[in-house]
Amino acid sequence: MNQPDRPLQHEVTLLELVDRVLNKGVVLSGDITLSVAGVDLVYVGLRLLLASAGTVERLQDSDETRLLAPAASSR
Amino acid sequence: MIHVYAIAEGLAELPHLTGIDGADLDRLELEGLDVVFSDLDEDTGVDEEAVLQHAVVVEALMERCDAVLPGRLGPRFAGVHAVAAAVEAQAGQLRDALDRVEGCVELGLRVLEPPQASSGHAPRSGTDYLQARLAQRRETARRALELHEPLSRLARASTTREGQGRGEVLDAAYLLAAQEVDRFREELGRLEESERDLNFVVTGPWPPYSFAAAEET
Repeated sequence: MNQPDRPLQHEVTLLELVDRVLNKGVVLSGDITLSVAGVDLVYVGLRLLLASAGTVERLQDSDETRLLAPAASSR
Repeated sequence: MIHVYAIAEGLAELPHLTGIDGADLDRLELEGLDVVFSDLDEDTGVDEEAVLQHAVVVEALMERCDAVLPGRLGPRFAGVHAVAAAVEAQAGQLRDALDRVEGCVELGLRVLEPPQASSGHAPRSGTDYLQARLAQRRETARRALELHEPLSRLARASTTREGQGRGEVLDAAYLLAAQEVDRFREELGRLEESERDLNFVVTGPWPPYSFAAAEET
C-alpha cells in the first residue's frame, strides 16, 4: 500500500457510485430487470476498500472524491 | 430495449453526449416530465463502463435541469410505449419526488471504526465473548445515532442503512440544497473533531440517487 491516497479515494468513489447506480435511483414499475453479473464482486471490493479507508486521512478534505463533472453544487 | 437514465423537469436541450455502448440519447416528454433514454441492443450488458456512462449522462442532466431523478441501471423496457405507460401511471409520484429533490444534491457518509487492535486480555469464555460483542454492537448503534441526528437536522431528507458489520458504524445519505453543502461540511468537520477514533468517509456531491425512489423514508 505504498500508493498515494488518490487511487484509493478514486476507487472508493467509484464503488460508491456503483452502489448508487445499481441499488438506488428511480425504478418505474413495469420494467424488466436484468440480472447484473459480477455485482457481488463489486461489494466484496467495496468492503475491502472501506476497511482500508482507515489509512486514508481526512478523505473529505479533498476534492478528489468527485469522480465526474461538477454537478448542481457548482452552479 | 429502452434504458432510462433519468426523469427530469425543465430540460431545455439534451446534453451532447452518447449513452451506454455509444447509443444516442433520446427524450420523451410526457405530462411535463422529460424522460431521457437510449434504445439499446438486447445484449448490451451491465458493466463498469455502462455504470460510468449512465452516471455521466445523469451528471450532465443535473447541470441542465431544475430537478433530476436519476434512474437505476438494470431495469429496462421493451419499447418506448412501455416507458410512456409506466411514467403516466406514476406521474403524480414522480412529480412529488422531483419537487423534493429540486436544486438538491446528496452527500454520502460512511463512518468506520478503525480495525480493532486486540484488547490484550482474551475473553474467558464463549459467553464473555458474546456479551462483549453485544455490548459493542449496542455502543456502535448508539454512536451512529449520535452522529446521524445532528446531520439529519441540517438535511432536507436522509436515509440510513444498517452498518454492514466490519466496523461500519454508519452508512447514510443526506439530501441538501446546493447552498447548504458548506454548512453541512462544517458540521461534519465538527463531529469528526469530537470523534477522533472514528474514520469518516464522505463522498459527493452526488445527483440525488438515494432520494429518487418514491417515498423511501
